[in-house]
Amino acid sequence: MTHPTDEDLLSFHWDADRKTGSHVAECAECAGSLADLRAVLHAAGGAPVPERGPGYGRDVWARLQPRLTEPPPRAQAWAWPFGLRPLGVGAAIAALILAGFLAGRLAAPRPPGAEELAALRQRVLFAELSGHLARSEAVLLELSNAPDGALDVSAEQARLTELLPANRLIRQSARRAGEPAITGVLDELERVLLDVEHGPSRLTGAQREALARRIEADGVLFRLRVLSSRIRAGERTAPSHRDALTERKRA
Amino acid sequence: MEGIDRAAVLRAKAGDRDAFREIVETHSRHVFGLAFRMTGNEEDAEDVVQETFLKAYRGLERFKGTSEVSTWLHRIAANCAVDLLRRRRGAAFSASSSPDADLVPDAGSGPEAAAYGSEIDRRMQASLDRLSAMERAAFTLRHFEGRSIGEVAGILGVRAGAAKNCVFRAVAKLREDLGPLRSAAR
Repeated sequence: MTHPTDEDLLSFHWDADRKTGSHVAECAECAGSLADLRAVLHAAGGAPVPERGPGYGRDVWARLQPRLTEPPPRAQAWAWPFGLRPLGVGAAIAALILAGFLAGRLAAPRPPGAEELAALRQRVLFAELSGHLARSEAVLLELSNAPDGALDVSAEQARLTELLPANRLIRQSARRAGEPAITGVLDELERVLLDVEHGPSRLTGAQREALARRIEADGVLFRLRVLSSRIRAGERTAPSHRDALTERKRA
Repeated sequence: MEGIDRAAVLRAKAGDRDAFREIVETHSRHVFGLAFRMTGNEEDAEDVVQETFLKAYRGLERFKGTSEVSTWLHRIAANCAVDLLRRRRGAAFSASSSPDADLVPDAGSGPEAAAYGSEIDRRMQASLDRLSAMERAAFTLRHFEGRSIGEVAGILGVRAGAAKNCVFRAVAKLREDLGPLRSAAR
């Protein structure tokens, strides 16, 4: 007799099929496993969702409305010249960084504006980098903390289609901005992410372990966290626009 | 309902803010329920609700009407919740730990038996918090929202195999964490 797997039983719980149902009806062991599984799922539903009254929608709208300051989406189309449309996160990052970079170049002959623009460029870079590091760390954590055994990494690979281009753009910006520490970490991160992207979507237990060991041995997670801390500290200490203006007046 | 939703979306796309208010008021409670299931606390759930409708408003132009408005909002809410959980996990990872087996009470003894139910709830919450963002999202959509694996995959933007695997991994972790308690109860 072939017993259904745990996955079969779980599928049966939600979408009963005749084959598994017939087996469970005759097999006390599998019936017990199914009962255990259902008890866990039942317990998972124990915490009730806090009640929201009938006026909740109005409350949500009242909080939301002040944030809808932008014109309706259709009216924004004029903002994209020649019919160009946003291309996604990567393109947005590229546009921001490029704008900051060009602004810096164009403003170079005017010394009073250079500090402000440099500070602005740094803040744009740090803001994008901070989010990127958090997203990358989340992917690496999921890979390195996965339970023993085979592992399907297709979800993580799907996320890399955004992370890798963003990583390259930010690394280029960091290089131009003369930030070798950031460039080095992003170089290392890209090598690990590329390995995951080019690897199989389902890792064997041995491959999963090797990947976890590599992440551990390279210290890439540790370096990401150190860099994140540094960025957070940098964001706090980076000169603000007002600071830059004050400095100019003093000069 | 869906016809009314679509009409409201069309009006909102044309710049009618009242139409978008109708969408918000109609779907807020359901979006909150999903957000609460995924994040595990009210404050985060409220943030996700706000972020969801803000993104929906900004993305009105891209909504082509090929899915139901509720599914579209669920997709945005699930992804907002995943992003929030990932940010939180990244910050809190160093402080996280597995549930401590020593805390498991003896369900068979008198006074402790009364606390048994709440201990299960506590352990279950800790176990849900231990899931990765994608696992929790997939499990919530499958278990609480009754979405099919195909729908879960569509909402989370992953392949069906990956969505199925996320759900299985989530349940495996829940069973692993709750197993000692259930054994003690027998």
